[in-house]
Amino acid sequence: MHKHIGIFSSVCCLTLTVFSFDCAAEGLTVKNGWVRMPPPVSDSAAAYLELHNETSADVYLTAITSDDADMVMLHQTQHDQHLTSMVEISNMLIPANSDVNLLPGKHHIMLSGLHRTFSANEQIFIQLHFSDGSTQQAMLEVRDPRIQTSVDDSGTLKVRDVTSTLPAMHDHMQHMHMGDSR
Amino acid sequence: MPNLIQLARSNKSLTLILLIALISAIIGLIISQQQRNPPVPEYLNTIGGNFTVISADGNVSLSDFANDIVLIYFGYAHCPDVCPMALTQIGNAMHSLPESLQKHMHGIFISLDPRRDTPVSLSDYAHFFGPNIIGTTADADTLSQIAYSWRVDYAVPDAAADSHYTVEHSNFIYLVNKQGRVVSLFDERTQAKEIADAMALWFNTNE
Repeated sequence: MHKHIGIFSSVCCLTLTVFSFDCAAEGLTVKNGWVRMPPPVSDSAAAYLELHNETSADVYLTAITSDDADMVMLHQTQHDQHLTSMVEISNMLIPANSDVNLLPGKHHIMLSGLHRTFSANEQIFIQLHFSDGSTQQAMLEVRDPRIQTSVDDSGTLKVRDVTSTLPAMHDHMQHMHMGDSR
Repeated sequence: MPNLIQLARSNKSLTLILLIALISAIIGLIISQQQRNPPVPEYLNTIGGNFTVISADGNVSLSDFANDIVLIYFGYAHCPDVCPMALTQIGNAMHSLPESLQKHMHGIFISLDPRRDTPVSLSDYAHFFGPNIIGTTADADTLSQIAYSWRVDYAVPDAAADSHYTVEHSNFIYLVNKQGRVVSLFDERTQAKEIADAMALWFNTNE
């Protein structure tokens, strides 16, 4: 009986995943996901989010996938004095009844080999795979961390032009991808 | 006789005025001395020195920016977390300064990963964070020499350029004064306002 339920659950999960729906475990939620808008010439970006495990069982985040990148890895930025390095983590524990936050300069999701440029405020999606067999689709908001306004010498508000170099960057990115042998 | 009393009173007042003027002058001198020479940690005396790296527009030397303020950061363009954080703080710090000061403020991003980062791609990468930030790199030997002088620790894996490797590196943001001397260190966690205040302070000093 249990075996049949297991098979049924797996089929259900697979079916829902194929049709891009969540197959989420009850009580496991993802919130406040965002990705730092990378320069258009960059092929990698870091993403951050909050994981809330409101169940009574430990669960591990075991894999992350995305249609927008060649590779998605869980990374930890390590600081040894002022030497920084990024270490790939094979999985991350989300203890029972606990929260785990991925934050800048600490744990983060690395999207490597981006397939396209990201625009500020757009939403991108990643799939989080957990040790209990569940999968969750997480929405990440693209955030531009550059300050947009400031006050000039006369006290007047001035808006920063953050788009002036974009056409040149876009051209360069197209060249980069055309020459890419991947 | 009343004239003598008046004279004595007048002398007392004069002495008091002179005393106040002297104390004010001493306080003013101390304040102006502090403004001229903000404190520089002693360990910074042996860090830095002139260098020449390659940008999309040709060679760039630190000495090209004499009499201006420069922020320098060593990293690599495929770095998704720490380098963008640092460059964002650098760009935001520059942008928050009055326009009259911005033209005297420069950033130099030096890529330690010339295998993947070209001067042209670095130019676009750095300009994303601010128009006054120059993207540069150099050959491996030159980078090694600069890193030694600037106490930069780094390790680039011996991997293919398309293998998505990461580079271990120091995360200092160096503040260089108008004489080309390192006067302060920050990192990606320093708030842009703190960096901007230090840049303005050093620009307004004589040193």
